[in-house]
Amino acid sequence: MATDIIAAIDQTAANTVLHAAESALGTLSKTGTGSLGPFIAGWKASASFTGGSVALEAPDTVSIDHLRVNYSLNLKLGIDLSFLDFCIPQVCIWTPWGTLCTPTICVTFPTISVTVPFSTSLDLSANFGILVKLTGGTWIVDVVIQSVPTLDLGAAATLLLTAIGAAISLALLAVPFIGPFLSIAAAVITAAFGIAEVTGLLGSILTLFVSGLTFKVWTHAQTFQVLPASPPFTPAVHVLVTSVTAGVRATTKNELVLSVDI
Amino acid sequence: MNTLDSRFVRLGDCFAHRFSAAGTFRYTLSVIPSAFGAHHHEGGNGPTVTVTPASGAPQATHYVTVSAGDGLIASPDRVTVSAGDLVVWSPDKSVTLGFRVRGRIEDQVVDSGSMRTESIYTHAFGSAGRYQWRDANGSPLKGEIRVTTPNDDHEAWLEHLKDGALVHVRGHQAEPKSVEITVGQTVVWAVEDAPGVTVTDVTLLPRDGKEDSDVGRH
Repeated sequence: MATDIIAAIDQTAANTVLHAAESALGTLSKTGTGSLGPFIAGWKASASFTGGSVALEAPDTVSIDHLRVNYSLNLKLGIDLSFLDFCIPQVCIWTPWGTLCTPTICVTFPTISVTVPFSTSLDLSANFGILVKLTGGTWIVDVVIQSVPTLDLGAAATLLLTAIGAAISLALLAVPFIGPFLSIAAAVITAAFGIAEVTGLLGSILTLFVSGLTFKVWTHAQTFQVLPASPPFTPAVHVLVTSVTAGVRATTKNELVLSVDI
Repeated sequence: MNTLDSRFVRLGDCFAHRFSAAGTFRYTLSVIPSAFGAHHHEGGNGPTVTVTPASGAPQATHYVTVSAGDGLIASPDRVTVSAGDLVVWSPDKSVTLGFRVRGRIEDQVVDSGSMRTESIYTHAFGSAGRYQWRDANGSPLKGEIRVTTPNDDHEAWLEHLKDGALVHVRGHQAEPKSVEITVGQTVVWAVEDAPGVTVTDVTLLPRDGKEDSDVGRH
């Protein structure tokens, strides 16, 4: 049976539609925990998507290049400093009333909480498939990422590692009696994890945002009114959309085509 | 933690007193620096130091550890000493707010929050900086402690921690007025013939309403 309605957009229009869909998606937020070496890292992250250029590939692939992922991360590390515990020995000192000897005082170092805010962006390129669905009386056409591409996190991981180091140093300075142990503490902590661990943590967080990434490019009510009621005798006229299909058609130029039956 | 304030004896601090005359020192342990809290249990079954007449034996030092449980607890809560002995009170890790020792022996008041004579306050400094201190009870007594960061020779540093520095307070004069130590070292204030003084970091005290060139921050 012939399709009742066909709508098509070329790549230029598809770019416009994509960018509108990115804005509509807004900022996504997630929380979770991971690890950096021996340290547990709690995190809160948010991400939004901008830019990118669309290439339509028949029969049903929407390829997006240079999609910008703008993300912010708030990392909270708990660092147990008990490996620095030591005792101040007894101090014996002359006083006018005899020699006073203080008791040995043992200093135990706490677990410090280090918060690291971090924001940057990365570009990714990926293929998206086209998914049509009817949900709650609404037809929806989504483009859904087909697989998580390799994320280039080298520069970001380096910056994040630097930010973590700075935050740890600042947190350590506030710990009483840490002064003589500052270099030891910093060395032990920074030896516990490096760029590989930071890259792994960052990758695991960003994958949560990218995996299943979906942009909603078209929606329409399944039933919609085409003519209002005209009292007293003429009721409103509604149209029922019975099916929607979507795909990429390659002709003189590639187009994203929507076929609608009513 | 590690705040310089003899009104609150915290981890890293000690308060000591030399009991010169025989008698019974009944005292309270309080977290409240004012006199109100100190009088609350006086005369009851609180901790005591019983001072017996001098026996001719060498001076001894007796240690009382204060812990936080159901209130502040002295351990041992009954100490018997000879006249001339020292008693040293110090907290364990459970004491977070600090404590004050206050009591009476015969007609003499012994009070870590208002030291008069034969009283000692010690403080181990945990952070480098310049600490200006004065008497929170309003006398002109004041001084300065400069705390430096040690070099990387940890063995030498740990050994150096055994060396304390003495500040002898007579009346409202401190000698020396300025002391330099390394992080982790202990300063000992020996208070003699004073009008009831404290050793308190000036940053903990209200400004006195006039420009004070001695007010400093570490």
